[in-house]
Amino acid sequence: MSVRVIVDVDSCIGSGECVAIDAAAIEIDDTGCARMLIDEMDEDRAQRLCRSCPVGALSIEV
Amino acid sequence: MSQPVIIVGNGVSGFACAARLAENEVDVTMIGPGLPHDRPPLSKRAIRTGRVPYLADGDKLAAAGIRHIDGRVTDTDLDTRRLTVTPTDGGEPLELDAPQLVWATGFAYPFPPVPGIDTLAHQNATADGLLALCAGVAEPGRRVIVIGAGLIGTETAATLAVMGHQVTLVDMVDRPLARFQPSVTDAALATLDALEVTFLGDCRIDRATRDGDTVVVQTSTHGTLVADVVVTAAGFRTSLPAALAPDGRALMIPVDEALRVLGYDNLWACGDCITFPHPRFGRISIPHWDHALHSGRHAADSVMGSNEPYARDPYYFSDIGPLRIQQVGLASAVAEWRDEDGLSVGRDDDGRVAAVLFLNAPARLAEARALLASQPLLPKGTHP
Repeated sequence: MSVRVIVDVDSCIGSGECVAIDAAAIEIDDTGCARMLIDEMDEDRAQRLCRSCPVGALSIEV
Repeated sequence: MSQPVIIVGNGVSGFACAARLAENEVDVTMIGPGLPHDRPPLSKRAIRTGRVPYLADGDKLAAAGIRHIDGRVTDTDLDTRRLTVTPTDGGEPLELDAPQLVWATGFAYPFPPVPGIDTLAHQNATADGLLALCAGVAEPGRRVIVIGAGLIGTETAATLAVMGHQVTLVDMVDRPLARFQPSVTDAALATLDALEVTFLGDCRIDRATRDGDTVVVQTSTHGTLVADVVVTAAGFRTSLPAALAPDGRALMIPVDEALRVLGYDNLWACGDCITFPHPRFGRISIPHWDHALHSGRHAADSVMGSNEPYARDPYYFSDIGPLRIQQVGLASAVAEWRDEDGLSVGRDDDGRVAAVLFLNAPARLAEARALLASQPLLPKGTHP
């Protein structure tokens, strides 16, 4: 099943952990915040991405 | 089941420790002023939005099972682990006995010892300081002086410039980020220049005074500077109790590989305020966010009985406006830096990779970590 991952930009501290595990899906933008590069991905990949965030700034859209 | 734990400090490390303990159903009390938050608040949007990125609010703390006392520890007997806590609301001091105690107070961020600064300047080091600063820069085009060109000051200056303010960054040394390697300093200088931030190095500030709505900063090196807002991000001092910093100067507590404080029973420490024996570098400190998080979690595991050594490799990241700086490893262990396939790789005297620096290349973090992790560790027993 494809899902969307959303970034809570108020929480993101730009640690870069998400980019380290999936640079094809997410980047750090010019403001130091994470930004999604793709609209949808499979749920396992999305969960791995969300788990990588040390501040819980990534979540799967419900 | 572990005995009850009291954590002193409610920044990243203290909260990470509390959360890990609570997840494991340990009775945990966290002491610190206000809701837990980064000190300094590192969210890149915090200054722009004026919203403090709290790590948890009251409901989340309650749901997690973390008891929070809003106050400061003002007296300590570490041998008996008896604490005196003065509540933030001015209530009567509390006396608490901690069966197990974790110290996680990081650093304190004082104003520079310059007459007038403490009453006229803002600090971006705490939630209250952030909110006051945000109120001061709510209107565009403010003239802002940022004092201190370390990571926090330089990040703050760049962020304010991107927001459209006229920013002057000053420091007593001649370059921003002066304690970092020259390539970082050069990149930071170029970025500040592109953002039209004025950098004044070798600057000696004599005093600050108010003239109507303007703050007048008198220097002995650069004449008189005027601003609508002054922000300080210069230096830090100890947050440790007298038992751990008897001269009032020691910044850090020596702990063992499991983050137990040397010389005490049932006392652990984590975060910025520790030195620990790293298996790759010997005894080091890592005053950065990533270490605060991971050492906090590790201290919790240690409290619950783990003897696993804490071995997280140092990692820091910073955003100076559009410039992204990341480094794994320990720059002070590097004897020579070389460019290797786009990464700046630092090797020690024995040719081992000691640090990997990369600018504007966030996708290479995993590669940099793997390169460092592939290097041999110190032989066991060679670090204190």
